[in-house]
Amino acid sequence: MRAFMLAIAMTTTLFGSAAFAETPSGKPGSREQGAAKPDRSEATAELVVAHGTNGGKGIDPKLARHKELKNPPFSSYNSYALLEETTRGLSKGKPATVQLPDGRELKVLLEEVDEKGGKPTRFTVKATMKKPGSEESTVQFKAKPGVMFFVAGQRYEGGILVLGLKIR
Amino acid sequence: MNRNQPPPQTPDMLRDDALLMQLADGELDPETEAAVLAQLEGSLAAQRKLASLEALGAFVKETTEGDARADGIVDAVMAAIEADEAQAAGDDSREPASQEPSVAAPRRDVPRARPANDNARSIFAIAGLAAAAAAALFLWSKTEPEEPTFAAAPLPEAPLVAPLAAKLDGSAAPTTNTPTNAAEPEAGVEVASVEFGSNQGSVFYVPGDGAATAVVWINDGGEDP
Repeated sequence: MRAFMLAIAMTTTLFGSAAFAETPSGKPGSREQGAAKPDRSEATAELVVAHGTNGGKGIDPKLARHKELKNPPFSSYNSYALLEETTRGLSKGKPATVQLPDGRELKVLLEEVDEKGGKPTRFTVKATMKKPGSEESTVQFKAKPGVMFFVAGQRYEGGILVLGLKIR
Repeated sequence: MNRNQPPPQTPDMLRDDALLMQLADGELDPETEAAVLAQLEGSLAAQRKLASLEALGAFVKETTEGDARADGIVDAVMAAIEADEAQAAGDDSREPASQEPSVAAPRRDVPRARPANDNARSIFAIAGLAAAAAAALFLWSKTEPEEPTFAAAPLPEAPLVAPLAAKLDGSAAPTTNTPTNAAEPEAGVEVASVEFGSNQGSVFYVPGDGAATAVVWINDGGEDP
């Protein structure tokens, strides 16, 4: 109950002060007139491509922050090397294309952005991988901002490929 | 047996409950103890009373011994007994005046006179108070908050959530929107749908940094390019 009341007080303070803050127009409560509303039809995708093997080399220090690699199912392989790390801008309805080391093509499509209080709370993203001459695999994720999700298991050079995708 | 013969009387020493209590507590001098024991052999009722006193004493001792919280309870019990006896003595002193009510006086219940050495009331009081003290100690020990305990070892990592039903035929789309266990970490990512095409695969939820994340595992079975 105490935390709840504190949350109400903080919310009232934050939003109340924002609502009556002086805007560039000089009038309280006229936020929309002076501040540009963020365009939530865009987002940023961070892509990590790693190579998992049982080469006994351990996890690349550049991948150390991805603790998921130590847990199943990734722990089936004892070595992970960073192959690529890139950032792409996403626009709703316009897929971003990345060429993967194994010849597959990865398309990332931003479908929806859920918002609350003017901030994105969840992104709906479709990831499609297609190898020339084969059927494509498609996964639709609903991800909170900044939480990385993975597509892995594709065979590559005696091991597997791991794709990590984070949307902000 | 001659019916006109009166029943055998309890020996005088055994009518004094205080003597029996002292005997039960081993507080009698050897001579008195020997005399009481000799009279006990002829009185089954006194033997039973002695056995009850011994059992009561053992029960109280067993309940309170070694428990520091019992300190003061015995004193409180004895104080209550003394107060009870004092009240009873006061009642006794007033009884003669009330034992001969006048005809004109309104009727009221007159307490029965009891032998001066009849300590049954005290025994019942002791038993009741001791039982109450024992019950209070029992409840006290049960309701006392336990010392907080801390795990000696770090908590194990959150277990891997079992893989969802894998889409094996390229048509089914596993959905994972319904958490099955509130204790599981909050899902930061949900897999809304998945199509593996000609491949096979599974969906895993693994603990991440603060929120569970999803891993779509594709078993393409393909050869290295």
